[in-house]
Amino acid sequence: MSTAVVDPPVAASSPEPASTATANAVFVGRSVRRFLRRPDSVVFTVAFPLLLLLTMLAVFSSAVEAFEDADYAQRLVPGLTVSGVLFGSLGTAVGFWSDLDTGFMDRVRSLPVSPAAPLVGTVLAEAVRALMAVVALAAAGYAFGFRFEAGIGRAIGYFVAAMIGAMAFTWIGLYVATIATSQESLSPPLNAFFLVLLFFSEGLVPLDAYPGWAQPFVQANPATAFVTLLDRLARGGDLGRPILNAALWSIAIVAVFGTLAVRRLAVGRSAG
Amino acid sequence: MTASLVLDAGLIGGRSIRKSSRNPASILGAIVFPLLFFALFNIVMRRIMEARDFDYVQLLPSTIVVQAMIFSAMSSAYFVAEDRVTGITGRFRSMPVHPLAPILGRAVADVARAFVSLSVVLIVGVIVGMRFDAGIGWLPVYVAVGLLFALGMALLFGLLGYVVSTPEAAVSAASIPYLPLLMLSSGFVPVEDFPGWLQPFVEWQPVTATIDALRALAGDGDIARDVTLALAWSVGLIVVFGAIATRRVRSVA
Repeated sequence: MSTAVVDPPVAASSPEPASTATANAVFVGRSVRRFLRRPDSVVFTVAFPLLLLLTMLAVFSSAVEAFEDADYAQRLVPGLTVSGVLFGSLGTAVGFWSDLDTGFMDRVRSLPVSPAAPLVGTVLAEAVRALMAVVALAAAGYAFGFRFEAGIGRAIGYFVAAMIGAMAFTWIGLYVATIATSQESLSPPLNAFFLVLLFFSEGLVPLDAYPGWAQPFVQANPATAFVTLLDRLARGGDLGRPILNAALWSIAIVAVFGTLAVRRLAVGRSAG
Repeated sequence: MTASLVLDAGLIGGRSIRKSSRNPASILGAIVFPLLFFALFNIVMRRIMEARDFDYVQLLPSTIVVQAMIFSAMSSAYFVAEDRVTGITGRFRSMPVHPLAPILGRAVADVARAFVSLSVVLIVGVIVGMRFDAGIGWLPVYVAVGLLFALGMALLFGLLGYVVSTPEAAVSAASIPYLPLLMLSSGFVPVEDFPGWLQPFVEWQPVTATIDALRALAGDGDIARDVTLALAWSVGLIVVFGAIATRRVRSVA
């Protein structure tokens, strides 16, 4: 993968390091451009969640609507929004892994920029990517009965919450990328982990559908925290607890996986 | 000539089997992911479907077997692309190897991997409560129907391996048809649950045919009708895409 598209942000004649803001902006731009220039990643971000939405609606609408008396799209759009957030971060993790593998990160470390700048750039770009997927899902879901019933303020909050979720969950993939020895050892375990998070959330079926032993896991799942928050933002209802829950999970995920990833990078790993 | 075909195909097939048995992603795809989907769909959908008289314990294993056969075909796309990109396919062409041997060897490896997958899913299915109510004598036919479908899909997805740039891109490309083929079938809900305009596709597509045949062989359905339809699809896929793949491999050099 070509990575040498970014000019060093510091001119050769200038002894001053780039400001943090400049460095971050450069790396956000690089991540977003890299994403947009790979047709398969755009397809996977936007087309695959839409395909999943249409397929799941066709397959499970009758069964789930017989089980709970509500439009399945109203449940599924927040559910697949969280799914898009989780599985979208897989591509970002693979991109970050190749940055480590090709030596791009080592090159950045030799430049007078903050070592955090590429990470910050990757995470902010992830929010942009997630927004594209979420807008596409909400627009397509509208045709099948998904509605923002609680006003424009909460509708905006819906998109903001999805972007915050994307920025938090992506740290899991970034950390795994720092310890993975090959691309094959990166994607399948993350894929399996995210599948379990998604299936054990309330984004696909209601809580009553789960066997009794599984219900506590469903309720404690960070993916459920975001599904519940998105559901309340779309349909209304008490927001205090869902916001607190999602915020605490985001902080915990960033604190744990962010710290692990940065420490891993700080000890000067060599990938491969 | 025939002797060299069998020998060459055996050598090439053995090499492919050894390669995929040493590839962690291939092992995950063949064993771990089918079992994961089996567990997840059982946990998430079983209550909902049993309320509709759709017995997941008996019916879902055949769905997961077919899903595993498709995963196996996706691995085939990966290995075809890898062999082409690394140049080994061209190398075979330059050597005195029977021209059909690379395709046949690939098929042997695909069927072997599919057999491992199918066995694991069936063993876990039986442990969880699946029964062969039509008689255990149908088990060999069950296995054969599953493996023929795996071979047909492997030849179809294998073609992606000849046209894309990298092995990873082959898997990405294969995952686009995979989702609707598997989901828009009788695998997870009865055909009547689908919107009316979609039902003809759901009813007649190859994944439904194969799942229905497997279910019939395990005791739910009309064996003669369902197995005939499934075999017609699988043999059709094998003949058509086997012929195309043979032409492709001859043009790689």
